[in-house]
This record gives sequence, structure tokens and C-alpha cells, in this order.
Amino acid sequence: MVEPIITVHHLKRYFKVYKKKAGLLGSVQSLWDRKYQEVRAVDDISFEIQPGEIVGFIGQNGAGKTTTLKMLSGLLYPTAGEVSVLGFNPWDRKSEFQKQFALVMGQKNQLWWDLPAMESFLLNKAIYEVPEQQFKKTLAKLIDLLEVQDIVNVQVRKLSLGQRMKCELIAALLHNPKVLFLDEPTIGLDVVMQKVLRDFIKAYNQEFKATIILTSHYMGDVKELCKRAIVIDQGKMIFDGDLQEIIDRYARNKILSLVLSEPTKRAQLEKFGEVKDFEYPKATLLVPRANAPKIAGELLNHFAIADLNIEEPSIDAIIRELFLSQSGN
Amino acid sequence: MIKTIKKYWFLFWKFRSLRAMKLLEYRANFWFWVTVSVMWTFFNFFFFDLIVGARGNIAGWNRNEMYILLATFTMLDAFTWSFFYHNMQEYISSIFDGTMTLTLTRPISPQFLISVQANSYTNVPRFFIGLAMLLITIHRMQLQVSLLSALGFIAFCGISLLFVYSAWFIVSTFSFWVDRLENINELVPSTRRIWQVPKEVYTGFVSTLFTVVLPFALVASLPSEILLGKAMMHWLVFYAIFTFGLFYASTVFFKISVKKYSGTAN
Repeated sequence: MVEPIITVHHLKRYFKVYKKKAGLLGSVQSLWDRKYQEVRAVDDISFEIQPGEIVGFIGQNGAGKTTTLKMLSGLLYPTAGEVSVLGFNPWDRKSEFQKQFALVMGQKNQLWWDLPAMESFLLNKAIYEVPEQQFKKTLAKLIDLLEVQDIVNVQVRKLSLGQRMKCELIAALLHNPKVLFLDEPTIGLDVVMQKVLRDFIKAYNQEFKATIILTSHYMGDVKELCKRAIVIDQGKMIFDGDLQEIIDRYARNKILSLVLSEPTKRAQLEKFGEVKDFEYPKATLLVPRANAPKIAGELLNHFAIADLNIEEPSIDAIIRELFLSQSGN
Repeated sequence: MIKTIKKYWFLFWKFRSLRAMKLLEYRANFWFWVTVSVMWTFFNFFFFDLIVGARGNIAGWNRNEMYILLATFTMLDAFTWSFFYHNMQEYISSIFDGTMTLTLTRPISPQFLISVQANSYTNVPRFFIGLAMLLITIHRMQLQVSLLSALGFIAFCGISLLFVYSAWFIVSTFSFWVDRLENINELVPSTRRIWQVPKEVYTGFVSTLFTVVLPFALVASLPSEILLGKAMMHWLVFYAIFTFGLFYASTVFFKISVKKYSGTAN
């Protein structure tokens, strides 16, 4: 059996956060009297990741995704728990470990703003001690995959956000990391550029057999890239398994999209399921997942229908459902 | 070991070349700051020349000796402004804005990276003004500088730079412990007034404070005294030991403080 490349046992990270009273008086009072509150950013999570896996970290803002990634990178010391990444304790910050992973944060830039990206690549080559031949080969491959031949010698400040992100990825991957932590890599990008980056991440995973942990607010990233998802809410892990399992478990309904060929009343459709939208000739119905094929058949028998589609709800909606079910608990 | 030294040496110069490239993107800004720093240097010399001219000497240092001190101060000050100010400014900002994250994940000493990645070239002319002033004054005084004195002067200029660096680095490292200290980077530069006068100016408690407890008064005084042949061995030994101890303390304090890094929200 293959040894996991990342092992996390009962990881905890608590922060002390200052709570200020409202108003000017509260600010003045805070000069000598401050109340602190303990925030459990990561609260006893455990998981293992196998080499070559792409795992999606899903969670709302402040759920603890980035804090977990920072602990796996050796940036933050945990309050308790054990972590092993590539056989190293990340907090030892050994250079042998640091040469084998990369952390890409969509909101942090490592490229030199006033200089062409190529200068930052050469700097990273020196910092990571990448041999000349390997540097040339990897750079050529990454430039080719991301199609940035024309921009690597243009000043970074003159590049678009998408072009900059592509160059950020190249800078982070020049040393061929075995483990890649991607924190919101597509944040702020348009849908076309999001797709380009997703394709690249997929290709990189296949080409270099890299293990990837991805956090993203865009469920499209997770859906397209990750077979496995870890869902975190308020520092606790509430799900770890196949993304499909989340869909099966939490998507209670399916969506039936109809295009009617004859005028029909809303009340008639309501007999078959919950009508979400109705604007003749289009209608959208939510129906229980298990009965969807049967209800679709009945609809075809009762109405003149030009087109009918059975769809899964969006992954965002399913995750919302999951979080709602957790808060209900 | 040699491989590591070569890597660090290469990176040191790589950063210098990157900064030079960056500087050449904004030439007008460069020339403006060169003008400001050169003017400041001349005003400083003029100010002390007026005082020495009126009083004959300052704490026993005559006009030429004061010129040696001011020239030494100017060179050291130009160096600290060129290197330390910008690196410490970026260091402090990186703790607050979270870009320290990038530094800490790289396979290199973070203290080295923090301390060398930035610099400015606008104070380089000041350094050469100081050097020219030093050579002119030595020539005018017909001072016989032995090889040992010259080497001692260079070595103790280096020790002074290490002392200022260590003190500055420790002060900047406090940024890990508090949410925001906006003016923390101005604290050590504000001690420049202490370095640019002879250590004998200070008396009583202030003398103990600035020559023993926080020996900023020795920064320019001791190298100048070596050139002038009036340095005392016990001060040199004390200052060297104190400086290396302070440098060691700066590395230990950094290692402890970095555990407080929260990386900001994202």
C-alpha cells in the first residue's frame, strides 16, 4: 500500500481575538481594558492524502481552510496536533522540505512588479537551486502549457490579472514541487481564465504527478479538478470523501427544465413538484431525486413538451444545503 | 558550506541587480532623492563646521577630528539608509500585510532574505562624499595612517554596521508581537543624532546609557578614534563583543518571534 504523502492528526489552531466595544468610548476603554475571545480556526481535524491526489478544501469564509494550508506549509504553528508532509514536520522549515512544495495564494504576489516575470523566475531558480538544464526544460514546458511565450519578458505591472496569475504559477512551479497548495488560485479571474487555469492544474497534476490541495470559493474549480473533497465549517471537518458522495447525500432534489409547446397553467405543474421558475414557454421544477425519471415521464404524458432536461442542482447549492444541515444540527 | 556561501553571495548580488533594474525604470525619482540626500549631507557638514568654528572644538575634538568623525558618520549613515531602512521597512510591512508568507516558505534563511532583498541607490553619492571628505581631511592633517589602523577602521565600520543592523532587526521583529506599530522603522534611524557626535559629548547617566547599555555613541566614534590613533582597547573589545552578542540575540529573537506570525487573514 502506498504511504500517504500528507498526514494530519487532531490538528488544532486557536487564536485569541480582541473584541472591541462599539463607539469611541469603547475605543478609549480598550486602551487599558481589552476583552479577548478564543477563536477555534481549526478544531481537531484529521485526514490523509495519497501521492498524486487533487483534494478540494471547501468551506465558507473563515472556515479554517487557509489556516490549515498555512500549517501544512510550516507557516503557522499549531495549538495541538501532528502533521507530516513529505515525511517532514513542516514547522522545522527544513530546506529539503521547502524545495519540494509550493504555496500559491491568489491574493499574494511573488513576482517583482516593475520587472518582467522572467527576472523573478531567474531569482527563484537561484533560491531553489534549480539546475540549469532542469530550469530550462521546466520553464519551456510551463510556458507552453500556459501559452505565455509573449509575456514573460513584459513588466509584470503591464500584465492583466490573468496573465499575472499564469506567471505566478510558473514562478511557484519552476522547482517541480511534489506537493502544491493552491489557495484561491482563480480568485478575481474571468470565467475564460478560470477555465485555462483549471486545465493547467489538471495537466500539471498528470504531467508531474504532483499532489495538490486546492481551496476555492468557485465550486467550478473543485468540481472540475477534485475527485475528493474535504469540507470544513467553523474549524471542524464535516465531510471527507468523494465529491459525488456529497451530491448523492445532500442533493435531495433534481431539477427538471421544461420547454412547453402549448400554454399551461402554473397550478397544473405544481402537482408534479415545486415550481422554481415559470415564464411560458420555460419552466423549472424541483422534484425528489429518486422520483425524477418517473415524474419526467408523467410530465411528457400530460403536457405538450418541446424539450425536457433532468439536471443535478449546482454544486454551490448542494454545499449550501450541507452547511445548512450542519447549522441545523 | 562553500556551496551555501556561494548561493547566498550570488543572491546578494542578484538582488542588487534587480534593484538597479527597478531603479532605472523610475529615473526622475532617483535623481530627486540623490539631490535631497546630497543636500542633507552638505547641510550637516556646514552645521557642525559652524559649531566647531564658534567653539574651537566639540568635547575635545578639534575641527579636523570632527571632520573625520562626520565623514565616518556620513559613510555609515549612507550605508544604513541604502540597505537597512528599505529592508526593515519591507520586513515590517510584510508581517502586517502577510507577504512574509512567501519569505517563510522558501528554502533559504528568512533572516538573510529579509535583510538583503531591498536597497536604494540614492544614498550612494553620499557614501562617496563621506569617503572623499575622509581622504581630504587625512591629507590635510598629514595623518600617518598605518595599515593596521586602516584595517581596524574598516573592521570597526563593519562592526558598527552589524551593531546598527542587529538593533534595527530586533526592533523591527517586535512587529510580530503587536498588531500594528506604524513608526517602528523610524526608531533606530532616530538614534543617528547620537552617532554623529563624539562619545565624550555624553556625560553622567546619558554617557552610561549610550556607550554601555545601548552603545549608539560608539558607532562613528570608535572607527574615527582608530584612524586618529586615540582608540582605547577596552572600548574596542567591549563594542565588538556587545555587537556579536546583539547579532546572536537578533537571530534568536527572530526564531522565537516568527512563531507568532499569523499570516494575516489570507
